[in-house]
Amino acid sequence: MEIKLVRGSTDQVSSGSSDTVETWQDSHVVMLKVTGDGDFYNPIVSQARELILKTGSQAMLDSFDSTILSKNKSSFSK
Amino acid sequence: MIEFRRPKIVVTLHGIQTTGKWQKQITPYLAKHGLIPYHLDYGWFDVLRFLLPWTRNRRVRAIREELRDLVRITGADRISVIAHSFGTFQVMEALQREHGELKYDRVVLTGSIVPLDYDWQRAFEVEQSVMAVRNERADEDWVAALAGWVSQKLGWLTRLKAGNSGGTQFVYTSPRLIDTANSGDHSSTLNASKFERWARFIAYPYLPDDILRKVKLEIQAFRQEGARLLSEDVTKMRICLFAPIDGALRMVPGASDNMNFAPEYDLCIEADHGATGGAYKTGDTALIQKASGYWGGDTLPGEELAKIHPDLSWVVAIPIKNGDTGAIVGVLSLDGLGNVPEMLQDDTSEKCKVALLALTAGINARIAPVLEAAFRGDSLRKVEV
Repeated sequence: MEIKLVRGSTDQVSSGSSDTVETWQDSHVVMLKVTGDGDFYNPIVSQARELILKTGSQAMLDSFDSTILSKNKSSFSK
Repeated sequence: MIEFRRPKIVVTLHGIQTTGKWQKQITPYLAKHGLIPYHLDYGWFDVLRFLLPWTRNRRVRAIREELRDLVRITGADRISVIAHSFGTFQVMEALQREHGELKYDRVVLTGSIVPLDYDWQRAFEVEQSVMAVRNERADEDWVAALAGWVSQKLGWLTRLKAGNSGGTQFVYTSPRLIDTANSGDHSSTLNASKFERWARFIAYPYLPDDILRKVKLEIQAFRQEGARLLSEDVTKMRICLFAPIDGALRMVPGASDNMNFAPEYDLCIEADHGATGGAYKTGDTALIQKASGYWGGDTLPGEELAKIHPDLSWVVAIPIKNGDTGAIVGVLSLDGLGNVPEMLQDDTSEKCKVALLALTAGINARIAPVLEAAFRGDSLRKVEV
């Protein structure tokens, strides 16, 4: 499971035109990209779960676990 | 609090050898959900006129003109459609011949004779001429089967290009093309229980009371939880749901908490504009912060930026996705006035990554099934939340 912060959208990063690269460099939008199968031992996942345990609710924790453990990762990325 | 609801016009169109009694019966169901019905009636159209290419084509030309006039007079960007039998053929043929000039919002097909290989990909992805379709088919629809057979066997004579989509699933599949199998014949679905569901389907993303109540409860709770998670003053945090309305992302009336700045109710965000548009287009959670007093990069056009609360400093846009189909049914926008929470300030940090993951996964499974039900036109009783 890979969890990355990417500036601008994937389309913009991969297009390669000079205009697009400028837009990408200038962009203030950061996207959270999650790929691969859900993994509770991933350090970012465990820290996020810990954060919910400390500050969140049971409903939030249930949603988190269900989303991470879901076999279908479409909850995160297309 | 005043929230602007844009009028939705619903065209209904009957089939052959009928004058569409069901069109009158469906009116109160449409009205209940705030929809404006526009019933088209082209009189009794017999089988012979349906089979003859020139009378059939004349009818398609007529419907194109009627729909163009409707759009011109009302100024609507998109219209929704409920069509039965030959009506389905007319509206989809009209759409194809307009090459993107005519746009539908949400479409209900019943007793459909639209070809099974209809180019939905072009309609959804290329021309973006349809937002969502619900095909109500029936296992004993011999009329649709006959239309398909005539097209195949007698196409050289009739020039008819119809299909048995009233009985069989379309070839193309998409989360936006909802296939509903029923038992019964060509007109079995024309009944009250379906009328209510179709009205709910077409009204989306305007949410019916049962769904809106649940969505509000969840997002109100999430705003409080988000504030605790980000160690932020909850009074400075706001939340609202965006969904496609008239071809752009707009706030869903009633689905917000602590949004009190009236100009924002009329925000119109194109897919890929700002954090919300980016989240909708890519399916990834997006974070944007105001830096040195301005929103940089691929942000909203000036006219839309002018509507935003002047103290808004950050936005986390979370796409809400159905776990099974991957369909994005809306974008939840959690934002804040004043300072950016410490956890989000460095948007390259691990801390930021952890916070965004916790927020995203902490809400999706609570709200996605509810919005998916609304997207399909189902009631909450059918959903396990």
